[in-house]
Amino acid sequence: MTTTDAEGRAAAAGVAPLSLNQEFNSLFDGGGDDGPFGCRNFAVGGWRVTGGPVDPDVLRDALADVVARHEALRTRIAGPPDDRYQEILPPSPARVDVRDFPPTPEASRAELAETLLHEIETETISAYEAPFVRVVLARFDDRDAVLVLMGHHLSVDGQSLAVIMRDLANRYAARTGHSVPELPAAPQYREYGAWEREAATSVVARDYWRRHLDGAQYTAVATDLPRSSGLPETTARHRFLIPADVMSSIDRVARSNRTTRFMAMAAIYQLLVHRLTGVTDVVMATFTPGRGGGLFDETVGSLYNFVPLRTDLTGCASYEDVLRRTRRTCLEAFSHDIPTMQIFAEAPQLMDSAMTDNTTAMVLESVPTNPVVDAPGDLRFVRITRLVRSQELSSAVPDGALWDVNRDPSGVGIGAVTYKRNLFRPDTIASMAAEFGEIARAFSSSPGASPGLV
Amino acid sequence: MGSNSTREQLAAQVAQAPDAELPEPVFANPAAYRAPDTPRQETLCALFAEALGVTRVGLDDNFFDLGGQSLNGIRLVNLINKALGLDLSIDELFDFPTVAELNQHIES
Repeated sequence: MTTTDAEGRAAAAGVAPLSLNQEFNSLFDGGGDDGPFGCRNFAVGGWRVTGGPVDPDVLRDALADVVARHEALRTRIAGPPDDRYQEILPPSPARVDVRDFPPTPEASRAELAETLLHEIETETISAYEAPFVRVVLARFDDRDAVLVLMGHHLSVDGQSLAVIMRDLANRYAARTGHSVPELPAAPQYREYGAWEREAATSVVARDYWRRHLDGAQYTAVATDLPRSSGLPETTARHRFLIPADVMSSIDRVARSNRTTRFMAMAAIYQLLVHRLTGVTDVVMATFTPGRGGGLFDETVGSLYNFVPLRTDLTGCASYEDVLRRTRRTCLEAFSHDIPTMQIFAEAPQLMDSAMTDNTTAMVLESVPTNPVVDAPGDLRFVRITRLVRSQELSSAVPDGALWDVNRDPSGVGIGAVTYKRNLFRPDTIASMAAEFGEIARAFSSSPGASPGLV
Repeated sequence: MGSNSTREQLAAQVAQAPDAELPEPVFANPAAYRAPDTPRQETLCALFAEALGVTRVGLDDNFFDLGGQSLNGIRLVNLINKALGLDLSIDELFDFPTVAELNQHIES
């Protein structure tokens, strides 16, 4: 799409009803910086940019192209809490900050890049002042820099970050005189909202969820600190590593049982939740991309979908039994991936257990990503995935804790538990993570052994 | 059969040397490539390639090796059902993850 086309669309800007994802987000709205509408609720990612200098002025113009192309980057939620709607604003310049690292030998640059990412994660971005994306460019030298992309989470989800980076690299190359492929057509976020309401549902899927979640209660975990203590909401992140040999063995067990790595991670995670709570009929959840099976892969916005995963572990005699049941759970759930609000309508009791004064919900995700950006021109963009240090202050999660376990390209597993600091003490989260690691090791080394159900 | 997908091996090379020259990515082992014979095998190979975003898929290439996950698997099954007028489930793709195995399963 050319900039002229995007400007033409912007002229038609206006208002739209909330998407179901935005309604889901609104459920957690308790106000404050750490809430869904707060300035600490953002998605952030870093890329190493090598191969030549990056011109900040061109980068600024390229980012403006991207803001013009994707309405979500200039769409805010307006109106009173009981009558909210989307307001699409005209394109406006986005903030690009430029910094220079002190002279740093190559071997120390990755560590400095991680420090930079953590520092930027202590900053903020407004949900009300468009555009809802900004960039920091930090230079090591004229052939090596770090580019950090931050977007408000109401406008940008994890997959959107990758779309924005690809588009930004394309526009930068075009503006520096390279011949570039035309970017694919990108349906706007409000079209996604309309699709969610009109076409995403299915009678079969609704029936499935009504039967499958009949009487189900989310398996909540006990918090350290009651909600009623009224501590200000903040979010922290604990990181832990899973050795490469354990990750390789997990992959082998997954493969021999014809499952994905995600299913193996979910099996391990369910056993952790079982040990923490004593519950055998485990109800957890994950986030799917929520992109209509590919219809909205190119769309920027908040599209992810919260999908419950219920597995009864009763009678599982081995880790592999747990894995096979988890496979069944996941394939059924993902085949019936309709918007969360429609799932909740079929199981209105589901989340009550997680909203009491001293309980909360934890969620697991594990999304394999290709770190190499499809970028024309001279520059190479590679996502920084090797982030290994814990953070006292991170971007917000809506409630409870979000677990993310991924295999780094080096082969090591990197786990990140992002948690509400006003609900959990760091030691509690660290001991949960250590237990996850122990279960992972046992699962990978003796898949036929008893999973040790309580 | 390796536990890492080819895509991940490539990513590992890039992560270790962000500024190095890389070979062209080849998402299937060329020595092991076995071309499709029948129109149905050709269709299956083409749909595997489309759903998984790879350039070429042979009869023995495995869905999981090619970066297959539940969600792109569901897409692939939908594409196959539409193209061939079938009613396969995602479970069947997971149980018969190569084109050759799936083709044989469809036959029987």
